[in-house]
Amino acid sequence: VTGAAALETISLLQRIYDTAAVLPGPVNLG
Amino acid sequence: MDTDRSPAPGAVGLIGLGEIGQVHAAAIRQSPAARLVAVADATPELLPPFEAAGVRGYRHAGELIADPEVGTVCVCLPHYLHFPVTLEAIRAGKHVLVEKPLTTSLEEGQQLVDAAAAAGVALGVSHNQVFYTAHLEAKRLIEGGAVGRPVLIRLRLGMGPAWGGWRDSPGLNGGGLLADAGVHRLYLALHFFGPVREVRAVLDAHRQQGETFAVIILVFRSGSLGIIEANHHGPPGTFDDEIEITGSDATLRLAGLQSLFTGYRSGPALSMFPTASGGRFRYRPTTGRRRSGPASRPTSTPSPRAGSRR
Repeated sequence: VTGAAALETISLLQRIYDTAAVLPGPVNLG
Repeated sequence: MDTDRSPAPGAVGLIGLGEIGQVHAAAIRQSPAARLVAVADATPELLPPFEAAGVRGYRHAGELIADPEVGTVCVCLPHYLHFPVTLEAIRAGKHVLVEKPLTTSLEEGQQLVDAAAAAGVALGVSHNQVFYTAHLEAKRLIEGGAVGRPVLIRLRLGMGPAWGGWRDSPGLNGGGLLADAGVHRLYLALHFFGPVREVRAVLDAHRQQGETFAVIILVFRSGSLGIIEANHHGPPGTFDDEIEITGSDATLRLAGLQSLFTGYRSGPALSMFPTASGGRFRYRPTTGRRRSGPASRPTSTPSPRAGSRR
């Protein structure tokens, strides 16, 4: 895809990282 | 007299001969439109097999970019190097195909897009899964109305253990699982359902620490919903990236990825099922009214277009 189209993906990735709630500790892997 | 001395776009120089770089090299060899003329990698042992086939080998990216025969540069480097190497190639007047993700920040990505426009060269990003046969068919079915109104997309990414190397360093990778294989889930969500209006996400670690679990809810501008679930804790060798697309009339299921590189196996990777209500239920996301009773009851519901405010 074009670089311009790929910007939308980068933008979504950044939005996820910027707004995500991060768990206070590691996920319980049992 | 022909005075155009621009190198042919089909003359490709490949930078980075790691795992994905080798896949690109094989694809270039198979393409009738491209010819591999040069490769570059900091690991000298990777060069001789290419040099034996008449391909020029370089130790440094800059040397390949300066090669006058190279018309297009293919960048298959660790993510943090995408920006500086791609920018150097653009400024040298080369077309560029860069592996996903384009860059590790939106600002850098915008700089590359602007630089390519100013230089008059093409900038492409390898969002290869868009072109899987099953994905092309799913897109055709959605756009042709076969599933009715798209309602929900669920994208799974169940990976085996981390690969090791630079991918395990968030500073080099640009984050954790989402910045790596997760990028495929993001661009496919956008590809199938369009722009995203709202995002809700829960991760097990900050970007700088490299997340290995992610649950993401997307609200698309259309009013449809999306769910992405991703983890790096599956059995060794796992690459489970099932996609399920539910529409008002049918559900599509894409499953059976054979490997990261070869795409779906030749079997029935794409399946389509009618909705539980046999297509009688009509999803109306913009009315704000909740259905009552069983899903199969409202057979006389007006057309989904009625009352729509897209």
